[in-house]
Amino acid sequence: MNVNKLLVGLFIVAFVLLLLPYFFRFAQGNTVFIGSEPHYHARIASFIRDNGMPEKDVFSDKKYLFNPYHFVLAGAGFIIPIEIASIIVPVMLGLLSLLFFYLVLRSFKFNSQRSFFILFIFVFSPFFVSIFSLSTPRALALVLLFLGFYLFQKKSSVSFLFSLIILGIASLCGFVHAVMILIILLVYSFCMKKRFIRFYFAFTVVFLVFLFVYLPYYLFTGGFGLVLKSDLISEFGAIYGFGVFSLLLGIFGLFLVWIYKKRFYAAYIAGLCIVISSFFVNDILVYANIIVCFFAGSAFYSLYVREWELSDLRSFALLVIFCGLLFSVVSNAAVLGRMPPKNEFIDCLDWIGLNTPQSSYVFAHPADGFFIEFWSERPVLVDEFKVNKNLEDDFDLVWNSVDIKSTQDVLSRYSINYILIHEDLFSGLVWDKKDQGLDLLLKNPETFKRRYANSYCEVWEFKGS
Amino acid sequence: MKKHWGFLLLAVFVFVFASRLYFAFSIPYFSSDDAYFNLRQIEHIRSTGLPLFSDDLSYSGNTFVFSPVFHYIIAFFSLFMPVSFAANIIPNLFASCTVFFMYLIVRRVTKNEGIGVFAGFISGFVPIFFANMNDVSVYSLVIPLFFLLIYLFIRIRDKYCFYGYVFLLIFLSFVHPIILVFCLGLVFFQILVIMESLGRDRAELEIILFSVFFVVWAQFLVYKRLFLFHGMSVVWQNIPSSLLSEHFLSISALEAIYMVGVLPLMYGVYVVFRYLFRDPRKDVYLFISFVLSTGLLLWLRLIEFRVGLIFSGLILVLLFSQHFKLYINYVKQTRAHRLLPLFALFFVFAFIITSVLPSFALAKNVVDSYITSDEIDALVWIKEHTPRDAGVVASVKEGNLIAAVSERRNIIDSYFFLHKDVTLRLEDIKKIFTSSLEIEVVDLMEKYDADYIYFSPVAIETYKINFLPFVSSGKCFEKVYGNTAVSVYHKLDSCRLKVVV
Repeated sequence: MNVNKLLVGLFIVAFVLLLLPYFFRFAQGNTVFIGSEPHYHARIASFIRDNGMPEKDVFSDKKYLFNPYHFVLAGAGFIIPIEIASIIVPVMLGLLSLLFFYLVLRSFKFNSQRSFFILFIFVFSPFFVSIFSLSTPRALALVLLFLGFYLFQKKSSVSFLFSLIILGIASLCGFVHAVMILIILLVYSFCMKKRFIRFYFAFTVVFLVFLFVYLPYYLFTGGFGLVLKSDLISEFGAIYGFGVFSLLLGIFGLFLVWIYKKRFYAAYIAGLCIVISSFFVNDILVYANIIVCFFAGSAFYSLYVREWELSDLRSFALLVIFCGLLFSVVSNAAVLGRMPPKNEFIDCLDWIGLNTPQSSYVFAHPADGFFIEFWSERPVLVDEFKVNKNLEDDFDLVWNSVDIKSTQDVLSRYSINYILIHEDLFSGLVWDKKDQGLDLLLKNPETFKRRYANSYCEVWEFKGS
Repeated sequence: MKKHWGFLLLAVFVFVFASRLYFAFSIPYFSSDDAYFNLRQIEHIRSTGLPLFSDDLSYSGNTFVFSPVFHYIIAFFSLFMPVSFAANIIPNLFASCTVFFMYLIVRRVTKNEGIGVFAGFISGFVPIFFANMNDVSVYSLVIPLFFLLIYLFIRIRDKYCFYGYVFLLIFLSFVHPIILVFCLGLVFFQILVIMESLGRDRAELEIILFSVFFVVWAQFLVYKRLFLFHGMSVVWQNIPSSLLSEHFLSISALEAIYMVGVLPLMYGVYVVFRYLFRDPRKDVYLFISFVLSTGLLLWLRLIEFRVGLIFSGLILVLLFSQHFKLYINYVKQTRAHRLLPLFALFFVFAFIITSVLPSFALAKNVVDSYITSDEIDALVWIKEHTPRDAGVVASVKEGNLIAAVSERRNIIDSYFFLHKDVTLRLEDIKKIFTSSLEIEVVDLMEKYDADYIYFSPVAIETYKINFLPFVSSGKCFEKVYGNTAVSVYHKLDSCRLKVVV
């Protein structure tokens, strides 16, 4: 088995898999970059490219939480449009992460075959495609973590110095990432029983990031920025969830390496805590997935090299496992490819951007907020970032009420000028069929006027009460 | 195999098969609503060559995601006989084959052919399994093959059994998701073996790993759409919670014991305790693992109660046979060893009283209680006297009947997947049957574009009502058909709700 050739092949496969969601998307005639959250980052990056670092978010009036990913995206935005950069940058980061992960594995003195199998599972995990196809800071955080960790272990002091800078930048990618970096370094130092002094330095750097970035932001806003929302199992529709096959292999892998429990008990306990906490704090799923990949890769390697008693079964069993992994990843890519927005939706948003006053407020579903802010450059009252219980209650009333008076009251109170309706709202997002709630009231010509429509969406003007 | 045991086994098979057919053909209808869903699929395959994946009648427009392998098999046999015959004979033939597979397993484990034949006989008369003789159920195919798979697993080192196992596992993976119970059982088995340090067998571990991965993969291939649509809740099959509770609450513990069979249950549980805590034995652990997996799934309500009982009942037969062997060995060691045939006969009689007779009683109850000729008359009347596009409101237990016999749209039936509003529909149907406000019923019927109400004994029992109170005014509803059991009401076209914006 020529591992070097296989590794090159794996890089090519990884590249293809990362582009797979866009293959599916383009095949459906949809050319817009994927996902709601990536639109938020694209908007901020676009602002940074044009105006430099913002003090606060223009549309939400919230203090801007510094994130290095926005600068990476803005940097790419100087060369290519932000929309294209939002597709290319994560893919590049994905390939880099693969390289750095390989270096980390090699630095742990794993043999090249075992490293290959762990990387193989990593590439064929649904979360790999999700993280490095969607333009979010998670992609950068993971790359920096691998690189920083690789340099952290090296004996050279220069490498260590670089690792502090890189891990410091990685901890700026999000509060959860910062905490995870600390945990990983602590467990590493504990298990290896060396370089505690290095850990203290790294801790100081990350602590400074807490002190000067997250603490002031928390005091101003009461939050830690965007928090990932995801289910747990990828085959059940979770974007960043565990693949069932990786998980099953991971459990088997855990049994195989259980014999090392005394030596690495801290790593085992931390790993278990990370996996369990990922059920509750979804951002940790990224790290829990890496742990699962490690165990699953070890299991796959062990199944590959062991001598099978049922020798006729070996190839078939390995093929089934491979097919299962492939199925998971392709199925996830297909789900990603179908994610909003669609071209027709962008037409609606472009129409709003071109034909409505700059200060107009658009009433739309919270899931559409980032799209409107990016494409129409109009403010919305609720998006996935701005969650407000009172607003949500009022807006629920508007979506579902058939009382024109109360709907008018709420829309006037929040100075809404336009309403955005699209097909997905009728398939369970708000309603389960036409002519319900607000959709029924829109037929009242004295209150609403349809200004734009295509096969997917409609823009209605609210004339006032 | 000694010749007389062979004849006896064949006689047992013939007796079980004949008994099942006797009850199955004692009524001209099928005994469950689901049977009519399967019947429609078989008829559709026979006429078009394809299953009915997209149906205009179910839920007034529905998409089915299911494996049609069983329906194809019955459709194939229906080429040589009428569909209703094939739908009665073939599933019963499959179910009766359980006798052979039980014999094989028990003979292998106890190394006693007589006990094997006796176990085969008992397995044919597990009351709840026997009572399913008339519902064209995929379980009639899956259950015997499940036990054949266990037998092949036990003999996995044999080359032919190995290939047979792999082939059967692949086949069953694409027939029904209940194969997951088998995989879970194997996982429990491996855990028990490790816990009791019974010596890990590499071949077993390899085949278990393969089985788990293949079965999970196959399920994702076939049911991917359901997984994506329902997410994790797919494991509860999107069955509304009220209906789920009803399935479990409608059978008391005593009834459950009666349905499983008193003797297999009693001795089966004894064997579980004996081998789990005192006398670890690998082959018995395999059966215990299946009891544990079925028990766990029942406890979590992940499998239908009836199906769980069938599996438990049959696996308990395997455990019972182990006890029977111990019993015979014990008697052989006593001074009463000459009376062994008498003791064995005592067991047979006890079994006849506690399992065979309850099987017949339960089967009689099933054929008597589900559907009457009055109901069929009403359904046929709907078919002949209502417009083709009419929608009919019926209880959820009769939805498939409306679609299959009346060939009209229903509002809800027992296929709950791919609908986000199942609970709402169920509540709305309940409101239609129980509301005293005519306006509310009209509103709901317009919501579902329904024109008729099928008011049957099943609705009376389900909703605890004797009549529909809102029809008395006669302004919006007229009775268009009635017999001693069923009434059919039509919503008048003149009666409509108008929303003014």
